Amino acid sequence: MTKILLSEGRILNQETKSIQKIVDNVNNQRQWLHSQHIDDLLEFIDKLGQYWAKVFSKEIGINSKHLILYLSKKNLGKKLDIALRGDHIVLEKFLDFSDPELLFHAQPRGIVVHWIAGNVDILGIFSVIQALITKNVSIIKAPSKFDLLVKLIESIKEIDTEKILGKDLLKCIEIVYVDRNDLKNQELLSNNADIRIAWGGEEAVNSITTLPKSPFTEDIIYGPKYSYAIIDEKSLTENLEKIAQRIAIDVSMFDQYACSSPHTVFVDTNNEQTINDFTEKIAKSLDDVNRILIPKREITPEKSLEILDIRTEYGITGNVRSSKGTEWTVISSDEKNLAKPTFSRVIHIRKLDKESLQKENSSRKIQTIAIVMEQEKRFELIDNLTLLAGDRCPNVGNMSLFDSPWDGMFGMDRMVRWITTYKNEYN
Amino acid sequence: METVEKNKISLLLELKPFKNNQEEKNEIFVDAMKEAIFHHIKNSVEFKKICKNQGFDFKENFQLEQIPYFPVSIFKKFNLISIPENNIFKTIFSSATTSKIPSKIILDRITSERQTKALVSIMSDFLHEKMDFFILDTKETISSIDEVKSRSSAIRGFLPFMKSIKFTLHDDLTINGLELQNIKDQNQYCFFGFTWLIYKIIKENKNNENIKKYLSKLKSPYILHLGGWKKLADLNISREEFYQEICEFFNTEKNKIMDIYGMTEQLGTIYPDCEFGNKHVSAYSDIIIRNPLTLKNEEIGKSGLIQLISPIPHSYPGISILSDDFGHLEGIDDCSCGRKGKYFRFDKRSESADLKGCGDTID
Repeated sequence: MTKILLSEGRILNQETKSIQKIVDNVNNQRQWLHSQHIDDLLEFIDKLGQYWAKVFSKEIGINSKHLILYLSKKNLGKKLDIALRGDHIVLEKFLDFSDPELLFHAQPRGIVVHWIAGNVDILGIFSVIQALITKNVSIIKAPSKFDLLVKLIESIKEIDTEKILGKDLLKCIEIVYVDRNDLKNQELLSNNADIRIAWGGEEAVNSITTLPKSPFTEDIIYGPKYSYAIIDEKSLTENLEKIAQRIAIDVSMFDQYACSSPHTVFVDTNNEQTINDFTEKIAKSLDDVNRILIPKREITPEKSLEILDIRTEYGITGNVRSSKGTEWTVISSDEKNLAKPTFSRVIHIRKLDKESLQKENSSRKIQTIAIVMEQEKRFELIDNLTLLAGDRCPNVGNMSLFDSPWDGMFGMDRMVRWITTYKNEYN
Repeated sequence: METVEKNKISLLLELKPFKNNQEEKNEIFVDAMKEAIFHHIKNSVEFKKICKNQGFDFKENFQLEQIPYFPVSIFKKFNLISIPENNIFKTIFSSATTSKIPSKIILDRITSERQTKALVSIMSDFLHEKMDFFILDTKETISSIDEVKSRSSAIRGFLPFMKSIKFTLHDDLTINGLELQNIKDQNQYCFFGFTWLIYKIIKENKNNENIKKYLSKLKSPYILHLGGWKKLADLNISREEFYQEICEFFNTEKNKIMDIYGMTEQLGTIYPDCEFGNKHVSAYSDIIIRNPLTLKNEEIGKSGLIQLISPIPHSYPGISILSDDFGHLEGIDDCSCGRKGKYFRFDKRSESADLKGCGDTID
């Protein structure tokens, strides 16, 4: 059953046979959005971030602080500068980037269609913001659990700045829910997209990328990815508790369903006791985080069985610490490879075997590698590992905080077309 | 120790299956479980490790719900054994309809004898006479000796209730009408088979005039069916629809149809429906309904995962198993059929896929 959830600035929640109308609506807003100055848009987003963090603090949880910081005019303007060759004003006019002959101007690509994954809806919001500040209009294909997403987007109308009214900006975003079997409307979305952004697991992404599209459509694929962390013994000796707490936050945020969530933590040590102590601390921290900071979302009974299954398997072959219920699980074992993800706050602690990891760290499926060790060693290891795979190497505790670039891409750069002209009109 | 262990569990097996109330049963049952736990801690590395991991000490007083359990899927991954290999009597493989990987259950003579004793005691409380059995399966199913499929094992378990036995399916699982030709209207018959296979046979033959003619001679036969409902649930067939079809096809009444719940991983301790549609827990086993999220005991009426506990398994540490089935307790000691102990109903098999995020990698 396909539904228009939000259209022309209003919540509709209306079943429909064709979503052509929402494509037309959003297309009509391209000119208006293009006419807004980028600094005014950044100012609006700054205010929006503060509003979201305040009004939706319960739903957004621990991400609220990051949301304010990331969406601040100063931060987002800087990220936009970096993505757009140094100066975001290039969205407004031709700029001289010291090319001997050329001037550059960034123009929006047009309609961005965002396929947003169910369990990481907050991450998906960031791609919508990126589209707005590159002056692209958006259609969001919502996941089946879309309540928070729709609420967040609808609340844009509550914000007014001196130059931009929220109700006008909201018209640049339409939200639909398209049934996965409704191929006709899925194809309609894809065919009308100037940019297709897909957040989600392997199955979801494959189903999107196989839809027909224009040869000029840009694809930005976020996921499916795998993330992990490496910590050396010295760091644990000095900061055991703090590191454990931060890992617990990384594991708990999005309940490990984000591509940036760690599933394995490697410890660079030969001391079994170090691993045991660390495992114990992580267990305690996961318990604290679940009780105080990020309560676990409800899981399906099937996931519960999967967790019990993995607990029993490693209870036999390794060591398991876990909550009494299915909230969190810490597993240590002699295995050396990247653990198969169970999701749902199941983290594996393993002794680092650099040679084995180097071999495994060779596929583009690797996204975030958080490394804790002294600076020089850290940079060296990052350089070695990321030659073949791995896109982000943030600090522990920040693994799932959205940033630009993401997945090795400056998303905002991919959302514009570069227009050139010559400095000298007779060249 | 072996002698003591035999005595305690044997004592339990001497009990009438549904005579003792839950409190009376518990006293004997916990003692039998203690012996079983001791045996498996001593002889199964896996069970010992699980107990250690969960800080379970059987020497202390414990409640049944504190006994560590194996999720049923573990039998697909580990070769769980608590006896010397030369004591292996036979190996049972589950039907593996859902995951494609069968469970492997190793039996010794001690376990096998206990299973048979429990099954006969339980079923004798439901079937009061030997009957002519039509097995809705192929003869091939029970032909292997050392390595046995769970379908075969289930059929063999009912042999003591069979006056005669006929297999009614060809090797390709289509009906063999010849076997049904000589049905006599004065005999008490019992049709026995797996749920999905019975459904398949009805569906294929409900317009088969020859078969209908043979079956019309039947006078209210018993229909015993066992095994998962998953295939029927996938086809959107309700129990009511299925039973209606059974009644029409086999010329019988609903109170003659008996759904028997049980697991390959704990053969012998089966849970047949009484005339009020409740599954009864015998003296030889117990069940706990666990909340799938908190893993705590659920109270009467609330659905959760069914945990099955029995001291009968000797050759493998399957004395406490968490199934992937959902059920709920209907009551304790007070079923209108008069049987004592816990009684429950099966709700569903777990099935739905988990929602994946962008962390769902290619592996």
